[in-house]
Amino acid sequence: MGFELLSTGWLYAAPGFLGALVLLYFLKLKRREVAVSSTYLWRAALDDMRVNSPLQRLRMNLLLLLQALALLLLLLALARPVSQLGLTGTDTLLLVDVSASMQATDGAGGRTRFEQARDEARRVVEDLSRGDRAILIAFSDEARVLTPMTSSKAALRAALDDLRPTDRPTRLGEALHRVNALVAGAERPPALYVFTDGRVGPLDGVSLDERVPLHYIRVGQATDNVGIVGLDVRPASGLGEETRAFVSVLNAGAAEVEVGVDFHVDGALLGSTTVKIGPGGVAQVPYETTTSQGRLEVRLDHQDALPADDVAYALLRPQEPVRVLLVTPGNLFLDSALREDPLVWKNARGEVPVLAPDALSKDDPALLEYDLIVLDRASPEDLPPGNYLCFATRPPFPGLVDRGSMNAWKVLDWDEAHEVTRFVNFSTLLLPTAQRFGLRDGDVEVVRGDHGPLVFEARHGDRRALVCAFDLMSLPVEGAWTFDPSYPIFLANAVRWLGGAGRDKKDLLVRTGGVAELRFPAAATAATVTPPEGAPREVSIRPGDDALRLAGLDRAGIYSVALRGPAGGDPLRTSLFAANLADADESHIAPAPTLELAGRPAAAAQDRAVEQNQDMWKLFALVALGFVLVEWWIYNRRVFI
Amino acid sequence: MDEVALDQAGTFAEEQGPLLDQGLLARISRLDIAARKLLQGKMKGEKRSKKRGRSVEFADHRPYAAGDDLRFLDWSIYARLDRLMVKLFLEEEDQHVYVLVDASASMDYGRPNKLRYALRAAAALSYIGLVNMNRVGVGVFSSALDRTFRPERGRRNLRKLLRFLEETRPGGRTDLAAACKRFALEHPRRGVVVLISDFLDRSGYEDAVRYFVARRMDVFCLQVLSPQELDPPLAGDLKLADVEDGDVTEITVSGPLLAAYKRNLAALVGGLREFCHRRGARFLSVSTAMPFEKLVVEQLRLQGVVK
Repeated sequence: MGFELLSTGWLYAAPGFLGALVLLYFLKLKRREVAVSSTYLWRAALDDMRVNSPLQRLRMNLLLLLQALALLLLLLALARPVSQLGLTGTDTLLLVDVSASMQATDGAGGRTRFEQARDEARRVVEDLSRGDRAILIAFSDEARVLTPMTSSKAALRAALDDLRPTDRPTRLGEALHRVNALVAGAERPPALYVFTDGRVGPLDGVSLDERVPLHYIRVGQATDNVGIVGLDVRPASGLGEETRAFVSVLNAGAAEVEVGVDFHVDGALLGSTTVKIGPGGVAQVPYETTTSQGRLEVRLDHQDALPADDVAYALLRPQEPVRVLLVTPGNLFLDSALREDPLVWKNARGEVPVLAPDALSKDDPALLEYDLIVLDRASPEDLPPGNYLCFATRPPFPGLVDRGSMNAWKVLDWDEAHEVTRFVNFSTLLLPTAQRFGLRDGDVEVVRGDHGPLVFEARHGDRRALVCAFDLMSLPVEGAWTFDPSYPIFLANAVRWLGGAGRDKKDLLVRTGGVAELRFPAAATAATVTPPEGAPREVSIRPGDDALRLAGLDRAGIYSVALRGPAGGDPLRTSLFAANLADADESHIAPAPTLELAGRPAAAAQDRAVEQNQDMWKLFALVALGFVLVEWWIYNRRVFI
Repeated sequence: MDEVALDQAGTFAEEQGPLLDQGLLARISRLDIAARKLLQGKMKGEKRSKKRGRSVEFADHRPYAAGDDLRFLDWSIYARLDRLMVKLFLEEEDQHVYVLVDASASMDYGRPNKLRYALRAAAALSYIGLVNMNRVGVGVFSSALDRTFRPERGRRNLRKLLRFLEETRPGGRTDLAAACKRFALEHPRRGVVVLISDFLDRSGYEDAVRYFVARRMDVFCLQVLSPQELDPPLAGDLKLADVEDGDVTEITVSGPLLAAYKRNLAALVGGLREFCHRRGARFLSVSTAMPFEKLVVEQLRLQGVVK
């Protein structure tokens, strides 16, 4: 059994305190004035005392000595003296959950789970003996090692102080992989402390080294929570459509709740609706607005323990022009119809870019710039990734067979639920000739003719095509479908469906902990990312990257990315994107009673099995109190010298 | 030992009420002032006087000398011895009782208040003197003799005397010697002198007592001290201020200091007692904590001041 001081900082202050104590003795005493009938006898008594002055000095010194001893003992008590009961020199792994559910304010006095967990971790750190080491890892859906294995309590304390919760989901598995990697090379297996509410995500297939004792320090108690678990926004297309938002609201509690959902755009309340959700249920709340631009903030008007999931963000913006490349030997109908579509991007002369079929090359990087490539009577051997609208062209997808042309087609039926068939009438489509295609599994027939599919959807990898089996130029002039209003509507639908939201949606809505992908101008070399809270950070763009990928999205909210050229100065472009938690696992905040890893239960919550040290400060404080009492007795009761 | 008692050692003004209450009066009205010495008085009174004179109590014979009153010739002696002898009788005369009260600032101290206690003692003794047909004179002094009550006789003077005592206000320094000298000069007739004071006089008490002893007065010194003086409830670092002369003494109260104080106080009391006894004076030191009735009925009797 040894003896040790855990926080020696107080001892450095001892000379200062003792100096102050001695200084007090040099200060002139402020004496209380008391009237007496005569000082005559007192003077005589003082004269008597003068004879014994050495004793008097000793008395003062004795009091000073007692006070100094009491002071020293108090300082020792503050230095946390412990007697070591067990072995020292152990290693400890501290895993602190910083995921979104840890922001639940269900602690005493509105303290968050995270703060409680951090306090528990601090307690373990303070209990470390000399020679003990610890490592601090913060985990959410990723694990961050914040300190190396260190015996410096100051470093651990500082790392804990700097720790902040995030809006990320939880994947303890990631952290445990880290732990296993750390433990693998260790001579002595460390003890593992997990400070969490137990909502740790799937743990299938995750195991922990057998030798590592696992302690689960549980925080949190609230179970009821209502949160936004999904937000989807369809942008206005510019054809009189409205922006539509879909909000998914989860009730993780055990009782039915009625929740108000408020929609704010740029800080102004635009609309509000109320929804009833049964226990454990999810309600879909649609919302439409004519506003096509701004920052949308959806807020639940509901008080619960976790405010972090009561809000979601999205950016409203008009749909960007679709860049269409027309690959054709010449097609009046396509060219004019595309030129009339307001959503299709046109060059300075107001023309849609056109390429001859022979000039089409798979390796042309310029092709990647286009959202949609219209192939008219082309026969490409291979295609780069992208979206294709094909007329009388077989996309080079393996298994897709062109069985040759057939005459006299009639339309039998079409899928009215498909996006490209909205408001389109195919009954007037009369075809003297068309190609017959043999579809593969997974290809989706959209329009069926009497000899086979006339319009269908086909995919191969990241190439997506809508194939029309007919040639627009071969339609009969009399009553041709190309003169029918249905034709430009069909083309516009196809442009929106193929070249539309797909890529844009991806960079509009991102999940915290996920990756945001942003397109950037070719000249950009660096970007400044400004998160919803915290300091902006610089990101460099490597040449050759097709998109700027941003990770480290810790907080939900609107992120702003300023893209800069090599010369610096004003940004070339500023892009915004929204990151949301939208994670049902995090919204289920009821803490897990146990933590089980590969069938191995952790030591129960609060069970602090590592009582290595016995606190002795009470003893020291008690002895100091004793000294103070003796000093007081001597001073006041005048019993001694 | 509590702090409240320490800071508020009691003032004269605080204590109210009559100097003598009815119950006490009833108990002490049967007492009388006892003089050790036979004293002369102005009038024929109830006290035996050393002076031979006219009364019924025979004392002695002496040879006749020309001029003697022939009425006192003892004819039976003349018949028997053929010598002219004159009968001498013990003359009974009134006795003088002088009460001197110290009203200096130092007496305005303590709880119960010393001056109040002293005035009550003076009142009680005066009352006893008056009801026993003694001539009672009272003096109140501090640095000098401040006020005097001319010696009067008879119960009817009681109210006047009590008023005189009640009008006393504390103040001034103690000068026992000066006050006593003045009083002794103003009151040359012998009698019982009761000197009530705390005897806390830097210049000493010896001269004061001597003035009376030298005039063959029957002296009784009553020293009045408060419990706060006998056992000071003081602690800590203090600045003591003398209520009389404003003298300031800084002390740090400790066991030894208190012991030295008590030793000095005991020496003062002992010295006074010794001094008085040597000169045939009586002495009593009382604490104001002692019930007043006990002082008059019991202690003064024990001392033989009253009978």
